[in-house]
Amino acid sequence: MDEQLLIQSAQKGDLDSFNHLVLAYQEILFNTALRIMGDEELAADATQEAFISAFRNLNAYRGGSYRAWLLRTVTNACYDELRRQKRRPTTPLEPVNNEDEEIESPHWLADPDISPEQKVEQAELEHVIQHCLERLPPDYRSVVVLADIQGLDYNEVAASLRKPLGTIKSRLARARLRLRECLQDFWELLPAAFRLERESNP
Amino acid sequence: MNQQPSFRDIEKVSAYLDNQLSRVDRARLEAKLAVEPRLQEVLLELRQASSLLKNTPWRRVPHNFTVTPKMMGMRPPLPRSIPVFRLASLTAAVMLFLSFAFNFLAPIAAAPSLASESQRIQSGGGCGNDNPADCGDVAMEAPAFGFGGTPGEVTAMSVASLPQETTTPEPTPEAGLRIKEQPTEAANIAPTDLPAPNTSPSEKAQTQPVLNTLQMGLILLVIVFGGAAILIRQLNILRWRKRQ
Repeated sequence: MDEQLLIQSAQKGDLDSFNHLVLAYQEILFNTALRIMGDEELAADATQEAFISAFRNLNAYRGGSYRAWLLRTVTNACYDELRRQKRRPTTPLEPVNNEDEEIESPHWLADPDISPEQKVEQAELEHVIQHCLERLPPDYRSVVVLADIQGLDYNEVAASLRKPLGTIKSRLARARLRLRECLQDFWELLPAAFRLERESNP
Repeated sequence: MNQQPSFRDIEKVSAYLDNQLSRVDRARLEAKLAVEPRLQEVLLELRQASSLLKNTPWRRVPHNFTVTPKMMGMRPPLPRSIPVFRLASLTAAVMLFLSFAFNFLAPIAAAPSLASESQRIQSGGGCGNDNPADCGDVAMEAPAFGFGGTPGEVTAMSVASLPQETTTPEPTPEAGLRIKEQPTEAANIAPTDLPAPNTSPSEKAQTQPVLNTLQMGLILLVIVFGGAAILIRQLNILRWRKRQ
């Protein structure tokens, strides 16, 4: 069904139409939240809050990229959660193994449809990327997540974050520079393909 | 030309990676890249960092994030008949309350005059059988409470008309004999001769039914209209949930 028709119908209060949109965009919103928050449960909460907030404020949507509009709601939900965490820091419950030791890279996070080798590689990559992302200030993090991970163009990122285009360009360049520095510290943990690319271009 | 590139150049390199430079800026930067190996390094590193992020594993959603009416705090619309039923049950309830209020307040308002009346009668009212006209005088002179008189006046008048024989002298054997021989005026008043006291409000209430017909009718109206409103509302909620 046409997205604009679904949006119009949802604006009139049709929850079914809105849920069609939810199903279409839930993955992009959840992954964005996950990269900003770094925790699956918090990301799920932020995503759910974002969709609820989106339905309530659907009449505020005045055209343009609906994806960018939704991404704005999810980044706002993430910022709210990050602020809340800053005020009331908590210790997350980590899964433990048979010896009651914490599992550093929980296997239950991985996709079950890939080989063990790929699984390890993916887990390493994800761990490194997430670690480096979390070292960025939230404003830089959201820009780099939207531009590089979600593949939004600069205008969409600017619309999502309600920042001028120049700010987006500047933040993205700074974020990439910091990420580069961070990734250099974990060079040996990066996937072989990535290491080969670097070695061939010293 | 091995100097460290400026942030402005790095920003342009970053935008160049995403094809966000104008044609003029692009040509300028490419010319600069050709002569500045350090800037080429930056380009390579930023490209690697960017491509690494683009390869970030895509995580599956743990569950669907579809929203429900409950999450949204959505409530079914009220049927048109509901306000009518609500108003009817409310009106009946108010009328019922008022009727109870009148029934309870009327005896309380009348209580002071009845109390003073019964007190006066019990104390003999300053009149005995010998002179019944005295009673009539007091009754005529004492203004009734609620008709210009006050309870204070009534009590004062009653007390003034009381017989002054309440103080008894020390009994002596002779006096005792005299008492036996000559009975007092009070002894002459037989209990059966006293006027029967009025029945108290509580006794009246006992004789009357607890609820009169009007109150019963009002209670019935409240129950019927209230019940109908609740029933219609529940049916409407069920139908709305099915539709959702």
